[in-house]
Amino acid sequence: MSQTPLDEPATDTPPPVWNLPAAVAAWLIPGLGHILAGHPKRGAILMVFIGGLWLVGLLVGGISVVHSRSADGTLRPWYLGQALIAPSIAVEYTHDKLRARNEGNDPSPYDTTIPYQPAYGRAAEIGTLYTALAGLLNLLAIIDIAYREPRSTEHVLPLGAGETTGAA
Amino acid sequence: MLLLATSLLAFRPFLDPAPIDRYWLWFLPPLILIVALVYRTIKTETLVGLPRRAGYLAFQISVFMVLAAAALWLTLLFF
Repeated sequence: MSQTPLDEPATDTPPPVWNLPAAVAAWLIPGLGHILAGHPKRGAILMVFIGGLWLVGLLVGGISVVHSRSADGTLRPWYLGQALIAPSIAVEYTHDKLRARNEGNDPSPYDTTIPYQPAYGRAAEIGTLYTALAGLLNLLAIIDIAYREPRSTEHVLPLGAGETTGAA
Repeated sequence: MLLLATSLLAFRPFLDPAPIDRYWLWFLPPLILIVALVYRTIKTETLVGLPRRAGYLAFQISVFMVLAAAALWLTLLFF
Protein backbone atom coordinates (compact mmCIF):
# COMPACT_ATOMS: atom_id res chain seq x y z
CA MET A 1 0.00 0.00 0.00
CA SER A 2 1.55 3.34 -1.03
CA GLN A 3 1.85 6.05 1.54
CA THR A 4 -0.42 9.07 1.34
CA PRO A 5 0.33 12.40 2.90
CA LEU A 6 -1.97 11.39 5.75
CA ASP A 7 0.24 8.35 6.47
CA GLU A 8 3.43 10.35 6.83
CA PRO A 9 4.91 10.11 10.31
CA ALA A 10 4.39 13.14 12.50
CA THR A 11 7.38 15.41 13.03
CA ASP A 12 8.93 15.56 16.48
CA THR A 13 8.31 19.30 16.79
CA PRO A 14 6.12 19.87 19.86
CA PRO A 15 3.02 22.00 19.37
CA PRO A 16 3.00 25.51 20.88
CA VAL A 17 1.85 25.55 24.49
CA TRP A 18 1.00 28.18 27.02
CA ASN A 19 4.06 29.01 29.11
CA LEU A 20 2.78 31.37 31.79
CA PRO A 21 5.75 31.04 34.19
CA ALA A 22 8.05 32.17 31.40
CA ALA A 23 5.70 35.06 30.61
CA VAL A 24 5.78 36.18 34.25
CA ALA A 25 9.57 35.83 34.31
CA ALA A 26 9.75 37.98 31.17
CA TRP A 27 7.69 40.66 32.89
CA LEU A 28 9.93 40.53 35.97
CA ILE A 29 13.21 40.72 34.03
CA PRO A 30 13.20 41.32 30.25
CA GLY A 31 14.58 38.33 28.41
CA LEU A 32 14.44 35.96 31.39
CA GLY A 33 11.34 34.23 30.04
CA HIS A 34 13.11 33.29 26.80
CA ILE A 35 16.12 32.01 28.73
CA LEU A 36 13.97 29.82 30.97
CA ALA A 37 12.03 28.50 27.97
CA GLY A 38 15.19 27.31 26.24
CA HIS A 39 16.03 30.26 23.98
CA PRO A 40 19.17 31.58 25.71
CA LYS A 41 20.53 33.67 22.83
CA ARG A 42 17.26 35.47 22.20
CA GLY A 43 16.81 35.97 25.92
CA ALA A 44 20.27 37.43 26.31
CA ILE A 45 19.71 39.86 23.42
CA LEU A 46 16.34 40.93 24.82
CA MET A 47 17.73 41.29 28.33
CA VAL A 48 20.60 43.51 27.18
CA PHE A 49 18.69 45.75 24.81
CA ILE A 50 15.28 46.05 26.48
CA GLY A 51 16.87 46.30 29.91
CA GLY A 52 19.44 48.75 28.60
CA LEU A 53 16.77 50.91 27.00
CA TRP A 54 14.87 51.05 30.28
CA LEU A 55 18.00 51.86 32.30
CA VAL A 56 19.10 54.61 29.92
CA GLY A 57 15.63 56.14 30.11
CA LEU A 58 15.84 56.17 33.88
CA LEU A 59 19.37 57.58 33.76
CA VAL A 60 18.37 60.39 31.39
CA GLY A 61 15.11 61.38 33.05
CA GLY A 62 15.70 60.44 36.64
CA ILE A 63 13.31 58.76 39.01
CA SER A 64 10.54 61.31 38.38
CA VAL A 65 9.74 60.06 34.85
CA VAL A 66 8.14 56.90 36.25
CA HIS A 67 4.97 58.11 37.88
CA SER A 68 1.44 56.79 37.61
CA ARG A 69 -0.53 59.98 38.36
CA SER A 70 -0.40 63.47 36.90
CA ALA A 71 -0.57 66.56 39.11
CA ASP A 72 -4.39 66.57 38.77
CA GLY A 73 -4.62 62.93 39.85
CA THR A 74 -5.41 61.41 36.44
CA LEU A 75 -3.64 58.27 35.30
CA ARG A 76 -0.65 58.96 33.04
CA PRO A 77 -0.98 56.88 29.85
CA TRP A 78 2.80 56.55 29.61
CA TYR A 79 2.77 54.59 32.88
CA LEU A 80 0.75 51.84 31.21
CA GLY A 81 3.77 51.20 29.02
CA GLN A 82 6.30 51.66 31.79
CA ALA A 83 4.52 49.15 34.03
CA LEU A 84 5.07 46.38 31.47
CA ILE A 85 8.50 46.02 33.07
CA ALA A 86 8.16 45.04 36.72
CA PRO A 87 11.05 47.14 38.10
CA SER A 88 9.10 50.26 37.03
CA ILE A 89 6.63 49.53 39.80
CA ALA A 90 9.46 49.51 42.33
CA VAL A 91 10.77 52.80 40.89
CA GLU A 92 7.34 54.39 41.14
CA TYR A 93 6.96 53.17 44.73
CA THR A 94 10.34 54.73 45.57
CA HIS A 95 9.31 57.95 43.83
CA ASP A 96 6.10 58.10 45.88
CA LYS A 97 8.07 57.55 49.08
CA LEU A 98 10.42 60.41 48.23
CA ARG A 99 7.51 62.70 47.29
CA ALA A 100 5.84 61.87 50.61
CA ARG A 101 8.77 63.57 52.38
CA ASN A 102 7.70 66.78 50.60
CA GLU A 103 3.99 66.41 51.42
CA GLY A 104 3.25 64.65 48.14
CA ASN A 105 4.74 67.34 45.91
CA ASP A 106 7.79 67.36 43.68
CA PRO A 107 10.69 69.08 45.46
CA SER A 108 11.57 72.69 44.68
CA PRO A 109 14.88 73.33 42.88
CA TYR A 110 15.78 75.79 45.66
CA ASP A 111 15.54 73.17 48.39
CA THR A 112 19.05 72.13 49.38
CA THR A 113 17.90 68.87 50.98
CA ILE A 114 15.88 67.50 48.07
CA PRO A 115 16.09 63.74 47.57
CA TYR A 116 15.84 64.09 43.79
CA GLN A 117 15.37 66.65 41.00
CA PRO A 118 12.13 66.48 38.99
CA ALA A 119 12.63 66.24 35.22
CA TYR A 120 11.32 68.81 32.75
CA GLY A 121 11.69 69.44 29.05
CA ARG A 122 13.71 67.15 26.80
CA ALA A 123 15.13 65.05 29.66
CA ALA A 124 11.59 64.22 30.82
CA GLU A 125 10.48 63.48 27.25
CA ILE A 126 13.39 61.20 26.40
CA GLY A 127 13.29 59.45 29.78
CA THR A 128 9.55 58.80 29.52
CA LEU A 129 9.82 57.69 25.89
CA TYR A 130 12.67 55.29 26.54
CA THR A 131 11.09 53.64 29.59
CA ALA A 132 7.65 53.35 28.02
CA LEU A 133 8.98 51.92 24.74
CA ALA A 134 11.09 49.44 26.71
CA GLY A 135 7.87 48.28 28.34
CA LEU A 136 6.04 47.97 25.04
CA LEU A 137 8.93 46.00 23.52
CA ASN A 138 8.85 43.78 26.61
CA LEU A 139 5.15 43.21 25.94
CA LEU A 140 6.07 41.80 22.51
CA ALA A 141 8.56 39.50 24.22
CA ILE A 142 5.99 38.42 26.84
CA ILE A 143 3.38 37.62 24.20
CA ASP A 144 5.99 35.73 22.16
CA ILE A 145 7.13 33.53 25.02
CA ALA A 146 3.68 33.05 26.55
CA TYR A 147 2.60 30.87 23.58
CA ARG A 148 5.61 29.23 21.96
CA GLU A 149 7.12 25.80 21.63
CA PRO A 150 9.04 25.10 24.86
CA ARG A 151 12.00 23.25 23.31
CA SER A 152 15.03 25.20 22.23
CA THR A 153 15.27 25.78 18.46
CA GLU A 154 18.55 27.71 18.56
CA HIS A 155 20.41 25.18 16.41
CA VAL A 156 17.68 24.22 13.96
CA LEU A 157 18.99 24.51 10.41
CA PRO A 158 17.15 23.81 7.15
CA LEU A 159 17.59 20.21 5.94
CA GLY A 160 20.03 19.65 3.09
CA ALA A 161 19.38 17.47 0.01
CA GLY A 162 18.84 13.83 0.97
CA GLU A 163 18.65 14.52 4.68
CA THR A 164 15.68 13.40 6.77
CA THR A 165 14.46 14.10 10.25
CA GLY A 166 15.37 10.55 11.29
CA ALA A 167 11.78 9.50 12.03
CA ALA A 168 10.99 5.92 11.00
CA MET B 1 32.17 70.91 26.55
CA LEU B 2 32.95 72.99 29.65
CA LEU B 3 29.25 73.72 30.04
CA LEU B 4 28.47 70.00 29.90
CA ALA B 5 31.23 69.18 32.37
CA THR B 6 30.09 71.77 34.89
CA SER B 7 26.47 70.74 34.56
CA LEU B 8 27.40 67.15 35.45
CA LEU B 9 29.10 68.13 38.72
CA ALA B 10 25.95 67.84 40.84
CA PHE B 11 24.32 65.10 38.78
CA ARG B 12 23.10 62.11 40.78
CA PRO B 13 22.48 59.17 38.42
CA PHE B 14 18.91 57.82 38.39
CA LEU B 15 17.77 60.51 40.84
CA ASP B 16 18.32 63.69 38.82
CA PRO B 17 17.61 64.27 35.12
CA ALA B 18 20.67 64.34 32.87
CA PRO B 19 21.55 67.64 31.12
CA ILE B 20 20.71 66.44 27.61
CA ASP B 21 18.55 69.34 26.40
CA ARG B 22 21.06 70.33 23.70
CA TYR B 23 21.76 66.74 22.62
CA TRP B 24 18.32 65.15 22.71
CA LEU B 25 18.21 64.40 18.97
CA TRP B 26 21.15 62.01 19.39
CA PHE B 27 18.92 59.75 21.47
CA LEU B 28 16.56 58.98 18.58
CA PRO B 29 18.78 56.83 16.28
CA PRO B 30 19.68 54.34 19.06
CA LEU B 31 15.98 54.09 19.86
CA ILE B 32 15.17 53.14 16.25
CA LEU B 33 18.00 50.60 16.20
CA ILE B 34 16.91 48.93 19.42
CA VAL B 35 13.26 48.73 18.32
CA ALA B 36 14.34 47.11 15.05
CA LEU B 37 16.73 44.71 16.77
CA VAL B 38 14.22 43.58 19.40
CA TYR B 39 11.49 43.09 16.79
CA ARG B 40 13.75 41.00 14.56
CA THR B 41 15.00 38.98 17.55
CA ILE B 42 11.44 38.03 18.46
CA LYS B 43 9.99 37.47 15.00
CA THR B 44 12.67 35.55 13.08
CA GLU B 45 13.14 31.79 13.15
CA THR B 46 16.92 31.94 13.24
CA LEU B 47 19.36 34.52 14.61
CA VAL B 48 21.69 34.17 11.62
CA GLY B 49 22.16 37.54 9.95
CA LEU B 50 20.30 39.34 12.73
CA PRO B 51 22.41 42.55 12.74
CA ARG B 52 22.05 43.00 8.97
CA ARG B 53 18.30 42.41 8.98
CA ALA B 54 17.78 44.63 12.02
CA GLY B 55 19.84 47.35 10.37
CA TYR B 56 17.71 47.15 7.24
CA LEU B 57 14.52 47.38 9.30
CA ALA B 58 15.94 50.37 11.18
CA PHE B 59 16.66 52.05 7.83
CA GLN B 60 13.08 51.41 6.72
CA ILE B 61 11.71 52.86 9.96
CA SER B 62 13.90 55.96 9.60
CA VAL B 63 12.78 56.55 6.00
CA PHE B 64 9.13 56.14 6.95
CA MET B 65 9.48 58.53 9.90
CA VAL B 66 11.10 61.18 7.68
CA LEU B 67 8.35 60.78 5.07
CA ALA B 68 5.64 60.96 7.73
CA ALA B 69 7.21 64.10 9.19
CA ALA B 70 7.40 65.68 5.73
CA ALA B 71 3.77 64.80 5.02
CA LEU B 72 2.64 66.31 8.32
CA TRP B 73 4.69 69.43 7.70
CA LEU B 74 3.18 69.86 4.24
CA THR B 75 -0.29 69.33 5.68
CA LEU B 76 0.31 72.08 8.22
CA LEU B 77 1.78 74.33 5.53
CA PHE B 78 -1.16 74.16 3.16
CA PHE B 79 -4.15 73.52 5.42
